[in-house]
Amino acid sequence: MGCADMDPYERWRQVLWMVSTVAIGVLTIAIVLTTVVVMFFGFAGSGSQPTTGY
Amino acid sequence: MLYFAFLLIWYAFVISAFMMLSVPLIVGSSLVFTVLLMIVFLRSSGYALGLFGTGGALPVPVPTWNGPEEPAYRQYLSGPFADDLQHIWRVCRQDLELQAKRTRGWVRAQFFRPDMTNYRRAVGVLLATGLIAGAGVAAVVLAIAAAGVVLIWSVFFALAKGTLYLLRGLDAGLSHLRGISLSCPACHHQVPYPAYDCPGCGARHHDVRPGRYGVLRRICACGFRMPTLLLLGSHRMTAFCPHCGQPMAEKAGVAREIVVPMVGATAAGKTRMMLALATTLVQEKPLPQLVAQPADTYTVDRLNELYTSLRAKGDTDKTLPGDAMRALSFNLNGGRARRLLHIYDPPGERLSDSARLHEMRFMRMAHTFVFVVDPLAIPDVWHSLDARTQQRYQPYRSAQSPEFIFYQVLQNLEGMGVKPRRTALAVAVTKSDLTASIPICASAGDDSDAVRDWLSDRVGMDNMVRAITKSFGDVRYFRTTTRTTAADGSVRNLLLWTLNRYGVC
Repeated sequence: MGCADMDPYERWRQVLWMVSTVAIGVLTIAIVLTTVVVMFFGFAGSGSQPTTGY
Repeated sequence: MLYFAFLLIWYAFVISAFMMLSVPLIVGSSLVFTVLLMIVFLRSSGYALGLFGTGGALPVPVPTWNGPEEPAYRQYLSGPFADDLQHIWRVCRQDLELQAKRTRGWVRAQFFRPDMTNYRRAVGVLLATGLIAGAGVAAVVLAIAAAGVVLIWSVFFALAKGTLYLLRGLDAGLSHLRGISLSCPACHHQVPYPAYDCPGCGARHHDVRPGRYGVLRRICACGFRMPTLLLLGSHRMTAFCPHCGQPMAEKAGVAREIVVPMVGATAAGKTRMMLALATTLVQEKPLPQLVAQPADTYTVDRLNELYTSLRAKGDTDKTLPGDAMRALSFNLNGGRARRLLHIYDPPGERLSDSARLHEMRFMRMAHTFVFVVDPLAIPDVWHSLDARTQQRYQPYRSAQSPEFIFYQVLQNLEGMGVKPRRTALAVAVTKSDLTASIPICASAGDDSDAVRDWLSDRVGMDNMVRAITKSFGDVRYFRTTTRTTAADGSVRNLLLWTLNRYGVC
């Protein structure tokens, strides 16, 4: 059994890669942004916490 | 003392700075490493799928023409997708491990050489912690993405399966509603679905229906995209019987089939009657809106053969018992509907042999039979002739009595499970051109009642006529001639009566 010159799955493979890329890209960006935001507000907030008076 | 105080302050400062820097350093390095690993993954997966060059993709095997599998590429979701996922995993794992090894080497080289200070080593520890955390985050992201892809695949697979059975059901349901069934004109088997030859390369596809090779289309080994259902146009390809491999009629499966067997004794004139019906149908257009065309090359060749024989010898060749009983098939267009007509001409010897009669599966599919009666074989007619006339007519006379053949066919039809009461019978008393000068035949009229009365009252066929009336649901009698090439009005009437029963006219 030889190998095909044509790739009948080309379009399916493109779709699979695109779906993976979008999923991974969105997840990665979400994680990076969330971490940066948490870090920024965490550091910024830690210096201006209101005191309770005690 | 002062030195110790200074040292204490210095270490306090260093520890504070270290503490302040550690969190951003760990988080930052983990994020950078996560992004780096993601980029590596996307690049490697693209390579593994052949998107960045042809070398990396899993090779697609060419389907074989003669193996147990169909000569078509499997549908991506039913096999190749899982193979690709495994291939992506193998390629990406190698590349990710390589990237991890490189990063580890870089960290060692930059922060953990023997000549380096403890401060630098401490920064290296922070970075390494961040890299380990980044690898963990990347693993979680990849696991989520993989689960997402598998979930999407599962949804698509379930949808494809559902669509597959829906389409099959729709195709079969519509055919059933339209009363369309398929039968092979060569081996007479009922065919659930024909096999098709690829229009591109001629490879035989035994079952093109939606399945593992495609839902709406399947890709042949040669690259030709074939429709999978009659609904989608598979009838435009050449169809073959999956039982005997013989070609089926053109457009089989899109029109209701009409199966008309000619029954009668040997030399009763069945072949001539069939030829007369075909001639009337194709050349003489019994109805202005009805267009009839031979539905396969066999029919064209067989008609030419019969015409040639008729022109050369004045008669058609006898149908031999060993001849293949293939129907003459015609596509009928116009009128109220499209139909596929199969006319069978079995040899008389087979009809008189119960064992062989059972082989004729087409009898079960017929709703109308044409019973060809040779008047010269009726004893009363034959005995009314003088010896000289008998000698003259002997070559044209069938050996068996119509009554014998009728009972033989009736008995076997019932034995085959056919209910004659639900079928119709056209009784064609042929050779009227030969019998016109015979006195006993002079009183045979042309309309149905007159022919029936003649058979029943004049020539002693009353038992047969009673049995016909009792057994069949609808009966019509015709007096026909097929001696001349041009078919006459009686054949036209017989044809129209038969077609009318199937809603053609």
